[in-house]
Amino acid sequence: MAALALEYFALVFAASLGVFQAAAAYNGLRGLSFFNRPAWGYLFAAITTGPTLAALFTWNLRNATGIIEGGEQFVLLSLAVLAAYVLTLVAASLFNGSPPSDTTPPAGIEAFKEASFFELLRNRFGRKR
Amino acid sequence: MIAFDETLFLWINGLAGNVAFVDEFFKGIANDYFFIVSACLIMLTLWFGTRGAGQRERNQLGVIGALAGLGIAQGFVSLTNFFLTRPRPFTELPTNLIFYQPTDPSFPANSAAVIFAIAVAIFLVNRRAGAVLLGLAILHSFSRIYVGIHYPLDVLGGAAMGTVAALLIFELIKLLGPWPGRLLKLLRIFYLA
Repeated sequence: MAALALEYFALVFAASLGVFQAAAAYNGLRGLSFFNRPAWGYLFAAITTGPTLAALFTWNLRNATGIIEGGEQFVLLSLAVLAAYVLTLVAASLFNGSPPSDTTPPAGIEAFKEASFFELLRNRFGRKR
Repeated sequence: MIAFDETLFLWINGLAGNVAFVDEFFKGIANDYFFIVSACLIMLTLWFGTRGAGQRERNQLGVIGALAGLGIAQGFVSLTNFFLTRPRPFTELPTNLIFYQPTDPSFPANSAAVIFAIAVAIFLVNRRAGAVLLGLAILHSFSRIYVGIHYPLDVLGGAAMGTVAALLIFELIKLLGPWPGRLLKLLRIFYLA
């Protein structure tokens, strides 16, 4: 059962990473993107999300016995999406860092058009220049 | 009504076991994970990938409504199962069972309740994404009959419960006035919306 749960978590995690990259590329959210060019974001999304959906589609071929109950599935799915978002925030901050600006960014995910997560944290909690 | 339900089940399920490729397709659609994860990815795309601020806020309210509707639909299913336990068709009728044997009651179809709650909630805020989800929901529901684990009335009952749950939650969102918007504002503080 743990193996099934781990497989499910990994698949949702990978697919979510891909969706975040596609959304970042489409929306120009630099602070969520691993790449400087949107095309790479879309390519990453296709490489992660496509095979993941195929793996879920063929789930019963690979796992003839054992199921993940609804409640457990909900928890795994939520954790996997959250983990993918946290990794996206951290990795995009490391890959796309830039000097902090003095302008106040907009609220919410719109702020990622101008800054990475680490820059936003610095802007909010760090010493002002 | 029950006799017609059983006749319709036997006709749809009678299509199974003839073409291996078609059977594998419906087994893939019918499984417990493919649709839920696909719906989740569509909701994530709506949440993060919408360009205009106004439409994004509507989409995000739709996603919140879908998640809440899913919970209410689950409540309807549990309540119904408390009073009514309909056996699965493969325990009562000669069935072409090409799927694993679920052990919970047949009526209402839990998965139909969940996916219709999500699809209808999204349809109320975004016609295009909602239509895709509704199409998938109908296909998934049909596939559950095809593989031999639900009667048509089970999926209709589940779909009705999911639809009512989604409509109820949007009435509640209207009644709550500015509060759902305030929730989104709170999420924006943490860069989550």
